[in-house]
Formats: sequence, C-alpha cells, structure tokens
Amino acid sequence: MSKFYVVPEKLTKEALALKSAAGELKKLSSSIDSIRSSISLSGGSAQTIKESLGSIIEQMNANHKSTTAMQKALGNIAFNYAGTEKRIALTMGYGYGYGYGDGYGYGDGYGYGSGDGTGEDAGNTGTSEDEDLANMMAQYGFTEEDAQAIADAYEAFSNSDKYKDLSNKEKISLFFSNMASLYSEYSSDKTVFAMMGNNPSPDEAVQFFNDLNVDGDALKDIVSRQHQSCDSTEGLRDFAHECAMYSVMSNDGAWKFLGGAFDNIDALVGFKGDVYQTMTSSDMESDIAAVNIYNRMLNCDDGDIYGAFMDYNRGVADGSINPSLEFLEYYGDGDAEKGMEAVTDIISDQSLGTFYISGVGPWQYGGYGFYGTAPYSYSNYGGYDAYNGYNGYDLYDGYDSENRIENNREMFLNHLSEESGVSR
Amino acid sequence: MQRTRKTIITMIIVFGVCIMPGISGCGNMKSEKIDALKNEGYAIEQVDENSILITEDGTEYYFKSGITKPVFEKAVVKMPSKKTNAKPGQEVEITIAKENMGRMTVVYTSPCNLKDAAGNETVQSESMIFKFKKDFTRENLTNNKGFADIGGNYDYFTSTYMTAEDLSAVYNRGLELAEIF
Repeated sequence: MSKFYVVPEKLTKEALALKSAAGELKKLSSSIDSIRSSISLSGGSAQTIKESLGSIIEQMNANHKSTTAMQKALGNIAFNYAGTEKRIALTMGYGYGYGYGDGYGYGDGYGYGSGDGTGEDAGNTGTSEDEDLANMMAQYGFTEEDAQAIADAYEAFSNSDKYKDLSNKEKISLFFSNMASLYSEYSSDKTVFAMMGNNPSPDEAVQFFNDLNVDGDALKDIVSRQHQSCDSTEGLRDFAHECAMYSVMSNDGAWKFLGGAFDNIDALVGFKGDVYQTMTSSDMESDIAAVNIYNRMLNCDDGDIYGAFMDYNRGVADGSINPSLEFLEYYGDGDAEKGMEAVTDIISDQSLGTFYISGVGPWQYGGYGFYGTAPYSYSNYGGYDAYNGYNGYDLYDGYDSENRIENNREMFLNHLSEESGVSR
Repeated sequence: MQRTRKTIITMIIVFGVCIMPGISGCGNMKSEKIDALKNEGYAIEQVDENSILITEDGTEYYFKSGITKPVFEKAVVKMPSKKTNAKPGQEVEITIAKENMGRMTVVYTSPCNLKDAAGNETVQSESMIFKFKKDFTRENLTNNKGFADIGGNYDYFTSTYMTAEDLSAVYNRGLELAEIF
C-alpha cells in the first residue's frame, strides 16, 4: 500500500471511532430526554413524585446538557476530521469516497449523519475538479463555495464566444486584471496598476463578471476576504496578489514599456517590489508561485490557462513541483544555480523604480547600488561603512530602512535556497 | 576682503556655538540628571553615549542626543503574535519612530514559521512598514504608492495589534517624556 494511504486510513479510523462515540452519546441523550419527558408529562397527577424526584430531575437535566454539549463537541471534531480527510484524500489523488453518509446533519447540524461508510473501498469517486477545489482551499484558504465560484467565473469566461479566440496572454490579461481589480488596491484606483497593468476600476471589474452571468459582487467579496485573511495565517498564498502580478506581467502597454527602461517591472510587481516595500510570508509564497504559474499559463498548448493554474497547484500539493526550484530554473534559463545569481542581482539592482516604491536611492549608498559589486558588495561591505552610517538619518525612507530591506532580501533568498536546495 | 573675513568669522562662531554642541554631544544626558530622574520613579537607563531608554508600561521609549537636550527617537512595543499558527511566546515588535518634518514611521516585525522542502521548520522575520505625515490615519499613509498593498496591510495591523489612536497615544507619550530632560 502506498504511503499516501496511511494518513487517510488513520483519519478514517479516528473519524469512525468518533462517529461511533457520537452515536452512543446520542442514544444516551435520547434515553435521558425520554425519561425527563415522561416525568414532566406526569405533571399534576404525579406532583408529589415529581417534587420528591426534583433533585434527580435536576441532575438528569444537567446530564442531558453536558451530554448534548459533548455530542456537539464530538460532532464538531468529527466534522473537522471529515473536512481534513477529504482535503487530504483529494490532494493525494485518493478520491473522496469514504461514505460518511448523507451529509452532516446529525443532531444540531454538527455531526455525521447516519451514513454507511465503509472506508476507502467505497471511494475513489474524487474528480480532478474536486481535487482542484481542495487545493484552492488548502493553498489559499478558500471555502469550497468560494473556490467553486472562482472556477465558475473562469468557466463562464472560457465558454464565452467573445473571448474564446484570444491568445493565452490576452486571456491572462483580461481575466486576471479583472479578477485583481475586484480588490480596490489592485485596480485602477491605484495609479501604478492603471499604468502598469492597464487594470480596470472595481466597478468595471464587477460589471465584467456580471456580463458573464457571474455574480461580480460576490466574487469581489471572495477575493477581498481571501486577501485580507492572508496576513493572519502563514502558509497561505495570496490570490489577489497573484492575480495582480498576472495582470502586470501580461500587459504590453506603453507605460509598462516606458517603465521597463528604469527597472524590471515584472520583478517589481512581485518579489523585488516586496523586498523593497513589505515582505510577508504569503507575499513570498505568491511571488514565487505567480512567476511559475504565469509561465505555465502562457505556454499551455490547449489554451486552458486556468487548467495550467490548477495543474501547478496539484503539483505543489503532491510534491512533484518544487516551487523555488522551478522559479530559479526560470531565471537561470534551466540552471537553478545561475537562477539564484540572477535573482540576487535583480534584487540588488537599485533603480528609479525601487526608489519610487521604497524611497531608497542608489546615491544614499554612495552611488554604488545597494550591494553593488566588489569591493562594495554586501559580503565586503564591512570595510565600507556608508551602508551602516546613515541608519535613521535618511531623509527619504526614514527609520531603519536599510535593515528592513536587508531583512526582506535575506528572508526571500534564504527561502529560495532552503526550498530548492540550491546554495546561495 | 574685510567683508569676506567677517563672513568667515561669523560662520566659525555660528558653527562653534550652535552646531558643534549638537555634534559633540552637548545635548547628551548627564548622569546626574539620569540619577535624579530615576529617583523620581522613571525606569531610565543610558543605552549608549547617544541613547537613553525609558520603559513605561512595557513600552520602551528611546531618546537620542539633540542640539540642546535629548529628543524622542522611537518607541518599541512588544506583544504576543496573533497569527493563527504562532507558537507560544512568539512576539511581534512594533516600532513607532519620529521622523523629520512632522513625519512618523511604524515598523511591524513578526516571526513567521516557514517550512523547507524537507518539512523542517525555520523561523524567519517578516515586516511591514507604514509611513505617515501629520497623524496615523490611513489617509495620511505616504508609502502606499508602489505595487504592495500597504493600505491593506495597515488595515490588518490596526485591526489586529494597534489602532491609529493607540499609535498616537504611544507617540505622544514619547514626545511628552522628552520634556522631562
């Protein structure tokens, strides 16, 4: 048996044990309830008995409450196990077919239902769509409904006669610029996205999806909610952030062309911009994934850009894709070690672009660039104290700017190295 | 010629009287004054020859040498991380710094637990920076101009750790404390 079956089996056993315990508690609870009702119903004719049994009734009521609470708690745990199990099963291509019965409607809606689950043999009914939803849930933190809504939006887009003949790049640009613009900060409300991504306004984006017979307002809520939840949970990628990157990467507008004279705009909208501004763990994961996914979408033969997106997520989930390695190989034209050097150089290269977003200009380091080349490079800067000299006195960026950028840079490069196994 | 000489002499005097004291540390804190403030109940200590720390309600207020007396530099607040997968004892650090020309900077630094390809966990440090003019309201954020969603980050920060009012209170307390020197 494959090792991938171990976890689901274990979970199955635990979940079934919980189911059994919940069932027993339900029976006990029903018995108590029944006795309680009988005593209460005896009412006036048995008043004396009722009074004399008052303390017993109280005790039984208390038992009933605690039993119900336990039942709910167990039901909750079982429900969570079922969800996790489903995700693991789908993520591992195991299929979701444990047969827990017909829903989660037991008791107050927390439990299992009266299913006749027979474990893994009942399963293998999982589909690639289910797997994709599970991956969207696991990697972005979407609910199943939210993930389904995004998949439906793409399906409506790809089925539209209006858009079906577009090239991959045009599809990426149109679909993801509208998806990104559902979140105001990635829309034309922000000049940089209007110029570099040609992004529409949030209202225009909502209308774009409404025109596809998809609820644009609901999508707007989904995208914004997911984006905001990323800051509080590590390990989740940022969907809106990735969409914003796709919109800029796929844009061939004049402003982006002009901006390219000053810096690598595709890097600036992703990892480089985050190094110079704000780098959180979800930003970092998304910066890497977005480059990989964009390249896959751009080069997919069947024109199914969302399929390429989902394939990538599936590869990450089953471990067949190493995101950092793929990222480095892209920047090194197939050679990850060269890619590490290239990425390091891209980050270290200061420009008007980095000055615009961070306020840190090359001249603040004596005109030699942030880490420059020897003898002013990062590794040699011990003898060249301009780097350390101005802490706190920078007129543009203010407090601790160089430490922050340095920290972001180290975090990003270390992560690439650790995940890919490529030394720095 | 005489006029030039006068100008040079004036410049030397101005430099000597006004600028040199600041550079040479005349605005530094005297140890007697620090002892006196300790006796008044302040938790004060000299960090180095140009820096003084006062701790109050767990918040660290740092003061640096000014031209005539120490001036408020920054306040550092530490509190438990509220990330969903934070480990017990992990703290975020929030620095509220005073900048030139009435501007302020807030730096939020948080540990983040990452896993490498082999599943080994490493603890890295992630940060967010917010720059302001006038006050700490979102409208006065000045660095929300690049690709990064600084505004969204600030919404998360203010709803999770410190509101704009909390930041103002700490900042103003730092300015108040500078008056005791």
